[in-house]
Amino acid sequence: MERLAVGDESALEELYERWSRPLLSFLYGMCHDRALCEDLMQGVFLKVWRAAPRYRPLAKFSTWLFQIARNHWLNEREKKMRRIRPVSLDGSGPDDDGPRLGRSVAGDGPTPDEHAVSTELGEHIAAAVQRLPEKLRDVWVLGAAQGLPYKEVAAILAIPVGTVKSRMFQAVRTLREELEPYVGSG
Amino acid sequence: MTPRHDPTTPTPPDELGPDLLAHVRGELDAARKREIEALLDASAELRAERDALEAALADWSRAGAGDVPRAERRVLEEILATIADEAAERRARAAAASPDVADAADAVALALGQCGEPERERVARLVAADAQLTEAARVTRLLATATRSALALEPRPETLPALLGRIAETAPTPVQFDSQDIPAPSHATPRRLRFLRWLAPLAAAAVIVIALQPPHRGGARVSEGTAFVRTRDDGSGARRNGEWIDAADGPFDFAYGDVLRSGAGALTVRVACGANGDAPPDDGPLPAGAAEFVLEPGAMLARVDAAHFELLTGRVRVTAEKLTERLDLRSGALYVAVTGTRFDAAAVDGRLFVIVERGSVRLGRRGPHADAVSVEAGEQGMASAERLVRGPLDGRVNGDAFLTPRALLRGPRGPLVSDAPLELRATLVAGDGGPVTIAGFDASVPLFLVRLKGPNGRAHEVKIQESMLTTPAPTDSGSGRRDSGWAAAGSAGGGAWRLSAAHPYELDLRIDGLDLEPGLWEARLRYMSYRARPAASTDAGEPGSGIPWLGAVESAPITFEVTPK
Repeated sequence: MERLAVGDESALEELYERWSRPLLSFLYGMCHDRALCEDLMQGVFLKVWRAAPRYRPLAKFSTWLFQIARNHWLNEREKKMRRIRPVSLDGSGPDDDGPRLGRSVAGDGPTPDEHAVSTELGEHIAAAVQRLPEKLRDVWVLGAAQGLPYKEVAAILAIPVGTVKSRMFQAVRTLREELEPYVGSG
Repeated sequence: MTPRHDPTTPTPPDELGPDLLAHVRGELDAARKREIEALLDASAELRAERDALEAALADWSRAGAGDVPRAERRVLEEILATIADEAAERRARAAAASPDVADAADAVALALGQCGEPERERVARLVAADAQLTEAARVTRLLATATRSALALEPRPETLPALLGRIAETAPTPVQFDSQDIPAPSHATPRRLRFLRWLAPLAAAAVIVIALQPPHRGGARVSEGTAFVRTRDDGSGARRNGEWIDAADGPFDFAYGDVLRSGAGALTVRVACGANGDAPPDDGPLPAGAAEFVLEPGAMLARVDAAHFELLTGRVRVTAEKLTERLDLRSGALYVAVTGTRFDAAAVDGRLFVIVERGSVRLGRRGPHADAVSVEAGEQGMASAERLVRGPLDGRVNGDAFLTPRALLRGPRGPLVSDAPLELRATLVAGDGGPVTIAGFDASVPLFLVRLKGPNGRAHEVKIQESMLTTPAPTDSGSGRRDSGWAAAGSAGGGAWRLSAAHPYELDLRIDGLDLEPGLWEARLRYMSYRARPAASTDAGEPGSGIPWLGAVESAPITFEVTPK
């Protein structure tokens, strides 16, 4: 980060190499839209670049990074929702310049590389995660998919560790309910 | 082992919030209305949630009356959604207090590799001994693995060059190691329900105060997040009176009388604290005379004049290190005054809390009982109509360091025969922050628990039930006030109790049938309250006198010996 702070672009490339996949995975868990994820990820790295001179290691770098990513996603989503409010939810309204909710927020269907998982469960779980209530999705994507410790998830989301634990349990319960036919009975 | 219900098996989703809101607004069809009313009859939690919704709607109607501009309906919707979210969270927490669910949550944590060393062994034994928990752990592992696979994407090759291209277009940033991007570890989401009741009156008061000020413009800039500004009409026709305007990017006028609020994410705004000042730069060090405000989601800040801001609700972090004049951040008669520091402030329930990271602030109140204290770096302070206190930072936020009641447990004075009843006295007393209202014993909600730990290390949790009380639960704090709204909620007990130095809350307990195994035992009292305030309550007097404290507190352990029969 010190190299980044003085404008060393190679430091950014190293950071990108290390964190682009986790970030992309996190953002994909949030919005389930491959193209939007790439845009959001760029925005996050841009913010990191701009904020680097002011970075102070008060917490783990990953905590800081995922906080930025989550705030960026929330802000962009809010802007997008405001911009596209007049557009029909089912996409049946008149065409206009703005993107449609169905495409921009819920995704425009899986691309070939989104079919990386061959199991039946794998084909359904990304959509099920997307349908989780936001609070549960945040915790599940950070704690289960990213494997961040509960303590770090709590710091990123600014909630107590006990709440993370409780939401993680609810997320499992909800996903299990949703994916019952694929989860089986061991 | 006793067969248990598997808490991870599918259960009806907890999605009553929207229907409850529709019920309050009279928008349900007759059949669903009957169903919701039946659920309300059966659940004190749900009734409390309904009451909170009704209170918010009533407050909002009052705030919209008279000279106060009526705000956009969307703001109301957000507040109501917040109530619904908080209520769902409380229900989940109450459910999580059940031993079955706690064990299942432990099993989930174990499956995700989230158990620390001492805990892991205990949970692993628990999971191994219980088929339902074993299954919960298996499903968790399966779901986590599948999620990781499903979300694993490779960045497209063109993304990095595009990023570097955008960076090349960015002006070099000056080196200054100073950051507002990471909240301090102690930061937590504000408990918005606590101040919802105060939001509307405060907003109304502030809007009336600032309506008397002449309109001025002030340079400000959004450097992170989305800002919503409610403006006054300046006569030019350019500013839409009373509407929330999205000022999402870049510079904007934060004029005297304007109200700023954050959206779903945190909002960082830099403000020139001088009349007609230019908007400060987007990043880099703050210029002299500028302050940076980081509004947490839901916070609202009004500008009264050049360097006087009114925190209407929520939590804000302020960096103001090179001011040319004193900056006042007020909440009603309470204020934080600074000339150069970094601090967090939260207006909650008629009290103003401050956490000082750097420098120092003057925390005080104006009016006939004007007084102030200095709060230094590494300290937190609380101002209310009757108290000004400060203390070291301890990781708690929103005044919990001062307001949390203290729990005490007294138990057997001598050895206890294993099949004898366990007699205890549970006491709650007010904390340093002074009087605070709590939810009293309620037969329908497990607010009081006794946690027992035996010689084998296994913990037991006993929910205090009405049959365990040797004397009726107190129902009058002696102040002549009892919140009838709680009683109207229909549960046994369930009154609000005003804790003060003169009025602790005490329960005498007798727990039969424990059949404790011989050895040394440890007991703690745990009190947890996540209920919202009913609408019917109209306590007057000290600020916040009727709003129950929410949260959990645990007593220090007591130990006692159990001898064989």
